[in-house]
Parts: sequence; C-alpha cells; structure tokens
Amino acid sequence: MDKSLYKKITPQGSTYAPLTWEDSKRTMASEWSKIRLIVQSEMKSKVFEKALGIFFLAIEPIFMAFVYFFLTQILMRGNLPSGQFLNIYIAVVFWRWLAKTVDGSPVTFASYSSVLKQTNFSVFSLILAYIGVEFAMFLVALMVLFLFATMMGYPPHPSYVYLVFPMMAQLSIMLFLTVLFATAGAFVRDLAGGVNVITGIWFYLSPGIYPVERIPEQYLTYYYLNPFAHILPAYREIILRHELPPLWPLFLITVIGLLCSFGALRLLGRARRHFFSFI
Amino acid sequence: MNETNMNRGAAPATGARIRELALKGQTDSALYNAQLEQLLKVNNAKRTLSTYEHGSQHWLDRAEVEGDGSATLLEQGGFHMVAMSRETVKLNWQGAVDRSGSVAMHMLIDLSSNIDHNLYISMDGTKQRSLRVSNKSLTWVETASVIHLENKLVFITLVRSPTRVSIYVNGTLKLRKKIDGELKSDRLEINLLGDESADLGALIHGLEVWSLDGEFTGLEHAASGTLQDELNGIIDSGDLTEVCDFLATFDDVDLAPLSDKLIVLLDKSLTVNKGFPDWGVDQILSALPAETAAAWRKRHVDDLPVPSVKVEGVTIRLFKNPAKKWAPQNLLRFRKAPTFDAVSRVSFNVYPGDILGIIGANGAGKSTLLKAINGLVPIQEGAISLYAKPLLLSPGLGIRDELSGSENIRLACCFMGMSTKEADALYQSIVEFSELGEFINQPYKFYSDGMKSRLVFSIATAVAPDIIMLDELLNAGDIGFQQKAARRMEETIDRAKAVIIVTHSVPFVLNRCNKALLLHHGQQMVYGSPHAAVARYLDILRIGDLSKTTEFVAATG
Repeated sequence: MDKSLYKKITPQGSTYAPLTWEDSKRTMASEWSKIRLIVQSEMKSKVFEKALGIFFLAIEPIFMAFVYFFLTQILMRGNLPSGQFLNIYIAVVFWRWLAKTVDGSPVTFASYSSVLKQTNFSVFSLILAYIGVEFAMFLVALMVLFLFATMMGYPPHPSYVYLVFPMMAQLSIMLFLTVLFATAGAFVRDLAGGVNVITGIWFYLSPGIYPVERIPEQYLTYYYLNPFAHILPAYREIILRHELPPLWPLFLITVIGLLCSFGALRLLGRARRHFFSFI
Repeated sequence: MNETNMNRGAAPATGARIRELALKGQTDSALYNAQLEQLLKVNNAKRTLSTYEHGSQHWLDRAEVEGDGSATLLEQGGFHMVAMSRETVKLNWQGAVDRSGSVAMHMLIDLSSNIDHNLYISMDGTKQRSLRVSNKSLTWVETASVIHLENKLVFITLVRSPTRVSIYVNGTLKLRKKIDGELKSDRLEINLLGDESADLGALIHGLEVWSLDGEFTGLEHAASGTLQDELNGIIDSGDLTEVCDFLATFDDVDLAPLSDKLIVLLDKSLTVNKGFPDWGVDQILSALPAETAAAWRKRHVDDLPVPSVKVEGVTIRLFKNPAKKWAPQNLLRFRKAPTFDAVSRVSFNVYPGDILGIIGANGAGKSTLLKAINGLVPIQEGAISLYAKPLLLSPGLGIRDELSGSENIRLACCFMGMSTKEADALYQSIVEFSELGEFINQPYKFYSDGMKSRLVFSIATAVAPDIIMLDELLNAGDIGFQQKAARRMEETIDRAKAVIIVTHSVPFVLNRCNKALLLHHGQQMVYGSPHAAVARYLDILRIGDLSKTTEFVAATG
C-alpha cells in the first residue's frame, strides 16, 4: 500500500496505512477514553438521571429472587434446602447480568444508528462500551447482594477474590453472545424478541432456582455441557461457603468463550461495512 | 458572411446597430423593427412571427396561452410573463417555425426581474431543442452549453439549421454547436416554470422568427473579432474554468494558434493553490494537437498534484428491501434479494484546495456516494483512495436528551472521532459559539428548538479535518444566528484542505465550487465545470430525464 495513502476502499473492504507502534498506543488510549466517556454518559442517561434508576437497579434482583423463591416453595412444597432464598438471589444477580447484556445486544447498533451511518466510529468500542454499561449496572446489584448477604450472616470474605474466575468465564461467554447477537441484530431488527426467549429458557435449564443435585443422574452429563451449570454453583461456593470452586471447567469455559468471541469479533469487523443498509 | 467563417468582422452595419440599441437599454420596437427589416432584406428571409412588425397584441392573439400564470401585453410592445410560486405560463405559436430550412429567432429580453433559471424557449416544442434563459446566463439544453451574460437587456438571436445551432448575444456569436435531427414541429414555445421560492417575471420586449432556405448572414456586429481573439482574452484572464466553458460552446475553434498560451495556462494550473481542475486540464489537452498534449503530460508526469480523494469507477449496489433480505422465507427458497445500482461507475478526483459540489435530484445517489467515500457503504466495483483523513460533518451525532449540553458536546466530539483531550480543547469555543451561556449545564431535553440547533451546529462545525464532507450546508437558529452560522460554515470550508459537499444550492455550486459532479439515477452525468453541471441539473429538475422525449414539467424547486 502507498505510504501516503490514508485509506483505500475496494469491493473487498477498507485497508488503512499501517500504524506505527506509537500510533497504535495512541489509538488504543484514545479508544479507551472514548469507551469510558460513553459508559459514563450512558450510565448517567439511563440510571442517574432517572427518578427510580438506581433504586430499580438495587431492588429488582431482590424482587425477582422473591418471586422465584415463592414459586419454588410452591413447586417443591416447602421441601427446600436451608438458605434457599440467598441461593436464588445470588443466581438471579449474576444471571441478570448475562440476560440483560445479551437480551439488549441485538439493538446495540440500532441505538447508535446515526453515529454508525455517519461516522467510522469503532463498532468494537461501541460493543465494549455497551458491555461496560451493563457491567457497571451489575456492580450496583452486586453491592446490594453483598450487603444483603452480610445481613443474612455471610459477611464479605477474602475468598471473594475467587469470584474473578467464574466472572471471567461468564464474561467470555457474554462477550461472544453479545457480539454475535449485536451483529445479527443489525441485519435482523426483530431478533431481540427471539434472544429474550432463548435466555429465558436457558435460565430454567441452569441451576438458578434449584440445586444441581435435583437433576437426575442420567442427565447430568448433558446438563454439565451448560456452562452455567458450573458458573452459578461456583458463585455460591465462594459467597456462601468461602471455598475455591473447581477451576478446570471454569478455565475451559473461559478459553472456549474467548475463542468464540474472537471469531464473533472478526465477523463483526467484516459485517460492519454492510450495516448502512440495515440499521 | 457565412456562419462557418472564423472571421466575424465583415458583417453589415445592422448587427452593430442592434447591439448599440441593446447596450443603450433601448426598447423602442420601431428602432429594432427598422434594423431587423434591413437584415431581413439582406438575407432575403421570410418573417413567420413578429411582434415588432405587427405589435404584440396581434401575436399574443395568435398565441395559445397555457398554465396558471399570466402573460400581459406591454404598452410599448412585447409582453410580460409572470409565474407566482409554482404557477407556470406557456406561450405557444403554432406554425411560427418553417421547418424546411434554417430558422432564426430574435428576442429582446429584459433580465432585470427575476426569472431564476426558469425560462425555456423551444423552436419545436421539445425540451431537447430549447434555450434556457436565466438572469445571468443562457444554456443550450441539447448540449448543456452555457453562455455567460453581462447585461440585463439582451438581444438574443438563436439560429438553427438542420446541422447546427448558433446563438448570438447582442450581435456577438456566443455558441456554435453541431446538432442532430430535424425540428419535430412548427411550434415556438416560451415556458416560464414557476418556483416555490420566488415569484418570477420574464419581460420580453420583442420577438420574431425568420426562415430561410440557406444560411443566415450578417447577424454579427462589425466589431466582433475572431473566436481566437475572444479565447485569447479569456486565456489572459487566467480562468481555466472560463476557457473550458468557452470551448464547450464551440465545436470548431482551431486551437493550434493558441497552443502555447494554453500550455502556459495549464502549467499555471499546477501552481495555483486553489485546487486542481483535472477535468479542465483533460478537456483542454483533448482539444490540443495530440503530440502537444502528450508532450505536456510527459513533462508533468512527476509534478501533477496528488489527489486527496480519488474515486475510480465506483459502483454501489443496494438492496431494494433490506428488511426482507434475511427473512426465513427468502433464505429457505434460496431467493436472491433484489438489488439496484444506487451509484454506477462514478469517477472523479478531489485535490487539495478543491471544493467539489455533488448535485442531483432526490434519489440520485449523492448521499450514498458520500457515505461510500467515508467507508460506510460497501462498493461493488472500482476503488476509492483517500490520501488524508476525511470527516463527514453531521449534526446531532449521538445526542442524548438526558445529558447536559456540556456532556453532549464531549459525547458528540467523541463520536466524531476526537479524543477526550481534543474535545476538551474545543469545548470552550463550542460553548461560546452556541451562545448557550449558563444553559450549557442544563439537560438537553429542556432546550428550546433554537438552542438545540445552535448547539448541534456549533459542535458539527468545530472540527478541522483535512477533508470535509458535507451532506447539505449546515445552518441553524434564528436569523441573527443564521448569518453567524453561514460565516462559520464558510470558515470551516476555507480551513479544510479539500471539501466535498452534497447540495441542492445552485448559487453555492456556482459561486464556491471549482468543480461539480452531477448524478442522475446513480449515473455520472457531468463531472467538471460547475456551470455545465448546474445547467444539466436544472434541466433534469425542470424537464425530467433528457434521454426521453417528454413535455416540460413544473419546476420542483
């Protein structure tokens, strides 16, 4: 490529003049500052400027946990293990982080359509900013969970640092699904409804409102193919029992999730230039 | 004198007298009639229509008047056509044109009142063979050739033989082009097509039509020099665009004697710091002897400027209905989603200093092309090379209602590609320009419409990219702010190394652009002289697709 050329656009796509290491560092720093700005702006616009924004963030998982607790009381006729409410609450907080992020992903690019149709703003930065916003909102719910757990006799413990392992596994899956559905959602506007259904079913196939022990033994092999059959119990292990969860499955999930995310990001990079007609 | 003669100086005194009358602002019919009668005798031609000989009442009686505008007789002769807003008025004289030989139409018209670009005169009622008259120029529609006018009262002579059309303005030959085809009817038509933006009035003092079996003579005034003399003068002015416009109005100017001067003009175009008119250079080189052109190209192979944007044969194909592209019923049937070419094989260059205006009717593909240059729309054929960083200036990028003006400034700057540091550096100037004062910290949703548009405009025009691309000129706010905004827009354009602007503003293209691109249904109709592009654009707007024979339609603004 001609060195004086800034960018060449052909039917195969766009190619840019190669960046020096200094330029790359500057670009990355600049993108990082943009992501932070978008996260701050979106948090303010979605949460802090709303009358009930922060209140909803804090209270919604507790409310959902109560609903699930009530349903399981009825379905299992009170035959529940001790600390069932906290079990459900922990699952709900972490599951809603995944569900809200993935469910909203198909409309991520549509909500920035004016930006994407008129500028070359990085779709990767937008996706990361979107995940960042959802993560920030999740942190609010997590703080309330810790407070609630303390009140229920499970005060914060140094073992909480182990949370990084299941969270990494969950984040890698979320990254993959978010990028995949965000890309697909740019082309199929009504995808969001379908994704909602999938995450809804997935929750009930995961040990969120019931313990894994309830699954008949002959199904366990298949059941453990669900990453959340490892991730959700891991959170409980750490928060309630202060123990290090089995790391091997979490490590495997993280690696597979990251590989899939890499593929999805490549797909997004190729799809970006076709967004114009669809979003 | 035969029309093909390059020497224009041997005409009888009549042409000179008519020119004298027109330049003095004389509108007396009797004076013109006397001169025209002399000329009629010299040519032994036949008068088939005359307002001079018989008075305008007689000829208005013979005319069919159509449309909702008005045509009023003037006491001193002639008539006044008026079209308010979208009204149209058409005067149509059946049998006024004898199609057997050459036809000459003489018209004295006053261009003081506004006719915009909306007065069409056709010798056979078809759009292709019409002359469009504006307050500043004449355009022969068939070839989109433009003649610039210097006076408000002009005596126009339009001569059409089966193979050639010639136009004289105040007795000076201004256009001579080869044409094909015969006149389709014997109808002379004058159309004034109204415009929403203004009331129009065409004041025609006199009109007459002659016919002759041979060629007309003596239509020029005696002082007219040769075409080379005139071209020589234009070359001396150093305006390459004007030279090209002149060349576009003649098929048969021998450029050999002027080769050296033209080469000097071309050399100068490489050093002028106001863009590079590649289209004009190509046009002049193609008109020069092949060896001269080849030698010039060889000599400048290394010092031709590098374009900021190079667009080569770009085709953009879009889906007719993108929403259904991924519908399961289409995927299961392996049905290909129907597409159309929004832009087809378009090529142009934008050099540092250039201001390129892209014009065309709605749906022509202008905005799509602009987005493709920014890499926002995939192309199917060709290539686009950018040698500097472009920015498509867009108002209202990523604005959030809940955020304050100040937060929105930072967010919009971020979406425009600026780092937070760059946004911080521009912040104060944006706030000051927007005149929002303490409201800058209030949520955007509480702003009035005027405040919103002021803020949005201030943000969009704060940046200084190398290549500015604009989809329509931006403006905002009340009248006071609009003037300030227009000045800021001018400054923004002046600051950029190169500008590409999609616009419907004809004055902007004519006054500010040094090159223009006209698109029509995705096809490149004209790339080059802003005057030629605007001429063709207006014809497309007023009379539709020029490849088909359709009647005039009302102006669409």
